[in-house]
Formats: sequence, C-alpha cells, structure tokens
Amino acid sequence: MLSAGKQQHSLFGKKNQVIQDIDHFFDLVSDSSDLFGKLLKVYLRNGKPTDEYEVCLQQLCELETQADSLRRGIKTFLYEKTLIPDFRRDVLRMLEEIDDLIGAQQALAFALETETPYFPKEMHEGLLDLQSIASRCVDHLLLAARAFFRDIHAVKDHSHKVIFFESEADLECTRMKRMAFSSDLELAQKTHIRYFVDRIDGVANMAEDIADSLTIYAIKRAM
Amino acid sequence: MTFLFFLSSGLFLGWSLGANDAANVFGSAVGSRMIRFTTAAIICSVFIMLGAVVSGAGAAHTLGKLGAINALGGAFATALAAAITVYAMSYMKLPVSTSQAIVGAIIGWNFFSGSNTDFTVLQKIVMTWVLCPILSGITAVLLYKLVGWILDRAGLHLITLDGMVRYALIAAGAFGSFSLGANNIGNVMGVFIASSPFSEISFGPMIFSPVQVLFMLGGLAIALGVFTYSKRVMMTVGSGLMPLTPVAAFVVVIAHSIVLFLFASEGLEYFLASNGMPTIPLVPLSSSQAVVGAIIGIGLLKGGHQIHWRVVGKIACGWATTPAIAFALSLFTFLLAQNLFMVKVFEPISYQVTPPVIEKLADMGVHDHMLKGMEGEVFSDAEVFKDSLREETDVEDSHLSMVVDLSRKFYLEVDLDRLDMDQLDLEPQQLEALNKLNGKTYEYSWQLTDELTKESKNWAFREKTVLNKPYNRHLETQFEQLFRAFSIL
Repeated sequence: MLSAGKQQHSLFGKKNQVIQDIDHFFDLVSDSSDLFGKLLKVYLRNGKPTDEYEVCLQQLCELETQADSLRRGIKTFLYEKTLIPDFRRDVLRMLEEIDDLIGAQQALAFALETETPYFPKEMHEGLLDLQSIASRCVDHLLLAARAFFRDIHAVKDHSHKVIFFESEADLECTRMKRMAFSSDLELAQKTHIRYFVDRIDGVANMAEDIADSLTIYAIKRAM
Repeated sequence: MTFLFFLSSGLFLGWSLGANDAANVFGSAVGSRMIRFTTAAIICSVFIMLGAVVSGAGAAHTLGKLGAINALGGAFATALAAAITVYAMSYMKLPVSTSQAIVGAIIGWNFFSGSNTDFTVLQKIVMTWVLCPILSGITAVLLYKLVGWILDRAGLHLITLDGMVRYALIAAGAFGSFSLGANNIGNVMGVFIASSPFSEISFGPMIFSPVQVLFMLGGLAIALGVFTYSKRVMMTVGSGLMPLTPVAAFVVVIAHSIVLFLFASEGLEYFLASNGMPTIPLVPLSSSQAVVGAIIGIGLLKGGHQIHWRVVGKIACGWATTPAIAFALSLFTFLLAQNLFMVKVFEPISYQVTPPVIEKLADMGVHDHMLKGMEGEVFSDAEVFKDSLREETDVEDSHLSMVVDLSRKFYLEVDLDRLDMDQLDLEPQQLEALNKLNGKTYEYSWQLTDELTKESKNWAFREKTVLNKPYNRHLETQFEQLFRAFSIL
C-alpha cells in the first residue's frame, strides 16, 4: 500500500513503491475474481448463504477496501508528484474502472446473500462456466493493463483475448437464459435467474469496455 | 550614470534573450508538463548565471561584428533595436534567433553610418533558415527511432520511464542553460566591457573580476527574462507546434544539442583536427531554429497530422522578418538617439585611397593603375565609395570589399599608457614589439598590424587552418582591443 510508500524518502524509492502498489492493486482484482468464483461454488453447493459463504464475503469486502485504498494512494501520489502528466488521466480512469469490477462482484455476492435465488441443479455447471469465462475476461484484462505500463505492444493481444472471452460469456449467458425459460419454474424464479445470469455476464461486459478504452490509451501512448 | 543609462539597453536585450531563448532548452519539458515552469525557470536562471560568469565567451561570436560600432550611443541603440525586436517576437509567442536580431540591427548601423557591410553574413542567415531545421529534423527522426527501439527492448515501467525522462530533461535543460549563458552573454554585455566602471568583488574565497561582475549583471537580466516572460514562447515550443510526449520532448532537446554540437562547435572541430581526424564542416546554426526543426521532424515521422502548420507558418514568418524588423527599428532608434537625445551613434568614417593603400593592395595581388586617379578623394559612405570604384577603376567586384576595408581611415597613436594590460593578456615579446612603436601614429589600422607583425612573430597571424583558429581569433581580439585603445578619432 502507498502508506508504506510514505516511509520511503527518495523520489526514486517512492516511485518504486507506487509501481509495486499498482501491481498489488491488479493482484487484488485478480484475487477478487477467484474469490467470487469460490463464493458462487459455496452458494450453489449449499443453496443458501452459509458460514463459509459469509467468510468468503468478508474476505471479498476486505479486498475491495484494500483495493480502494491503494487506488486512492496511487491517485494522490501521481497528482502530488505530477507524474506521467500525459497519461495520468487515462491511468487513473483505467484503475477506477478496474476497481469497479471488484465492486460489481461484491454487489453480486451481497445480492446472492440477501435475495437467495433458487438455481436448479442442472444449471449449476453452466453458471460456474459462465463465471469462469467472466473470470478469464478479467484475467486477460489485467494482463492488458499490466502490459500498458511495461510493454505497450502486448496490450492489443490481451485486449483481443478479452473480447473473445466476452463473446463466449454472451453465448453461455444466452444458453443459461434459454435453459431457465424453457424449464417448469415459476415465472418469478425464471426472471430471478435471468437477473443473476445477466449480472455475472455484466462483469465480462465491463471487462470488455475497459479493454476497449485500454486499447485507445495504448494507441495514445505509442504516439 | 551615463554608463548605466547605456547599459540599460544591454540589460533589456538580456531580458528579451531570457524571455525567448529559455524556450529552446526547457520549452519541450514545460510544454509536455514534465517539469513545472517554476522549477524550469529556477534551474534555467541558475545555470545561465553560472555559464555567463564562469565561462562567458566575452566579446566573441556576433559581438565580433558589433565591435565595428564605434560609439557607445550606437551600441546602445543597436542593442535596444534588437531587444525590442526579440521582445515583440516573444510577445507573439514566437521562438526567434536573438543573434539574427542583433545582426539585423548591426546592418542597420552600417547603413546609417555608411560603413561597409559584409553580405556573406546575410547569406549565412538565409542558409541558417534552411539548413538548421533540416539538419535538426533529420537528427531528431533518427534519434526518435533509436530511442523507441531501445525503450521497446528495455521494458521499463511507465512510471520508471517517466522519472528517467524527467531527470534527463532537467540535466539536458541545465546543460543547455549553461551554454546559453556562456555563449550569449557576449551579445548582451560585450560592448560595455571596455567602459565598465565596476571593480573587483570578492565573496569569501571567490573573486569576481570587473568583467565577471558585468556578466553577472547581464546573467541576472537574462534570468529575469526567463522568470517573467519566457512561459509564452515555452508553451509554443512545448505544445503549440504539436503535442509532445515526454520522450519526444527529450528527443527534441537532445537532437537540438547534438546538432549544435556537431555542426556548430569549434571545440569539436579543433578536437577532431588535433587528433588527425576529418572535421565536420561548420555551418551557421540557431538554437531556436534547431528546436523547431526537431519538433517538425518528429511530427513528420508520425505522419504530420499533429503539426499545427499555422503556427509553423507564423514562426517561419518570424524568422524571416526578425533581421528586417531589427534593421528598420535600428534606423529609427539611431535617428531618435542622434536627433532627439543628441547622442552620438557613430564616429564619422572616411575612406581614402592613398599611396600606402595602393602599395598594400599590390602586395595582396590587386593591381589597378586606375586607382591612382582616385587618390585624394575622401568618401564618407562605403556604398558611394564602391560605386565610384566601379565607375572609375577596373577593380573586380570580388575585390571591392577588400579595397574599401583597406581604405578605411582609422587614426591610431600607439600609447602604452592607454592599454589595460590585465584585459589584453600580452606575451612579453608582444609587449616588447609594442614598446618599440610607442608614440608612432598611423592612418590605417592595417598599418599597425603590419608593423607589429614585422616586429614580432607573436603578433603574426598563422596559416588559416582549423588548428590555428583559436590562436588567430585570440590575436584578432587583441588587435581589436589595441585599435580601440589607440584610436584618436
């Protein structure tokens, strides 16, 4: 965290600290995605929020707080030291949007806890697949974001992967909705399932939007 | 008091120079927002002062041409005209060459006083407009490609790269500011050296000579220009011409320095020649034009879409009009100084062909019996004299300037008491030769040169080679100082 960076005295030291903070921020986002996957598995196994679920949710909240704090620290440091003047706005917007990914998964976890939706057993595998694809979207987005800082030419390749997995997520999402609406469930349950499927797919959509922006930022940086 | 009044125009020129030329070294860094203006201004000011005081080139460079101005009032009006021109260009946010403004004003003085103008200077100015941006642009393109290739392989983090570029820009800017101070202080303060009333000042172990005190004052004026007015031109250089990324900003500064170093550095030329290596031909270059050329070079490499061609057009117009405006303004300032303030802007100059001149010309291979027919005629205007030579003699056009220069009357009386020995830095043999001529008078300055050359080989110019350049230049400065001291106009 940048608070640790404050103990560094030289500007070089502080810069190294902020580089570590940015990397750590991406690690947290990646962890949050894995944690949400685990959380969904726990929910589907038990059909309701359990103690194990609460522990995972608690961890996700802590990750979110930590990532927020890191992002704020990075933002303050970049502005205070007037670092990367040309790309500062792009970098901060990218970090903010990536931070929103954790927020979206956290909100989804809370919704599962409060609304306790019913998912038929035959849909479990599909739901986990959808989440896994969304998670791969996030992972490739993070690779693209890391590349933005170190290897600008690789951004496009990783962004392309994000777009590919987002399409896969859309297909899986449609398949899940079709499955729900062709079942014998109550209309309210069907609608409820569609709502959650859309929100899991929403994470992949968000990742795709950020990847699009990132490609533009990379073009600007290469100019 | 009179000295301070005259000095004011030099200080104004210093201020204008600071306001305009600081953009060449820090414009791209400030414009790309890598360095705050205040930080740049502080670094720039400190290093300009250091450059001026520690390694001020004195009466060198453009001032050599200014030396022809034979009245302090003339120097005042010339500097004033150049300063107003540079100020006007800074007001319009245009980077221009201060030296060209000074040359324009000097040509104005020549015109006003009827002195001979060396038109090769004008040719050199025009050559600068074309050569300098092209050389600089090509260098910037090659350097940008090279830096890009290295950065691609280095895999540096954006923030690490940012820090490195920032420090590199500061270092390059500081170095550039030092050179700016060292090379231009002569233009600003040079004419006032001879009449400086300052005495030696000591700060602890440091002792500043009167010339250094004068240069410090000039350096302060330049620094003030940087602080108060340089941001306008900096923003044109840094972002007005085209938006610059930090790396491009760094490439611009380095390309401009490399071009100036390779193609305008006599030090490098001397180093290469003294090590038996082939030298790079020196060409007249301007720092402002090198920076603009480098930016346009990078812009063209990226396809040219980002270049603001209207700004480029404005800058090009500024370059073309700078010497012309300075020329016109100088005529105005001379008229005002002479007729309104009753200040002498030039000592009358006369040209006369006499037997010694004809003999000297014959020695130099110019034989024309028609010249005898002009003996006794006195001219007060070089151009009128040239016209008469064309009409009445068969002297070739290429020899006209030589005839005019040799016929220029310059009454001298050798009086060693009038010499400032500290400033002259004479060898014992040189002093001995001067002693032998003490009390003698001369009609033409070349007569004293010839006599001294005969008396001692230490007063003789060496063969014109790269290695002999510094020696001959030093001797030239010594002769100029002698002429100034012995003049009995």
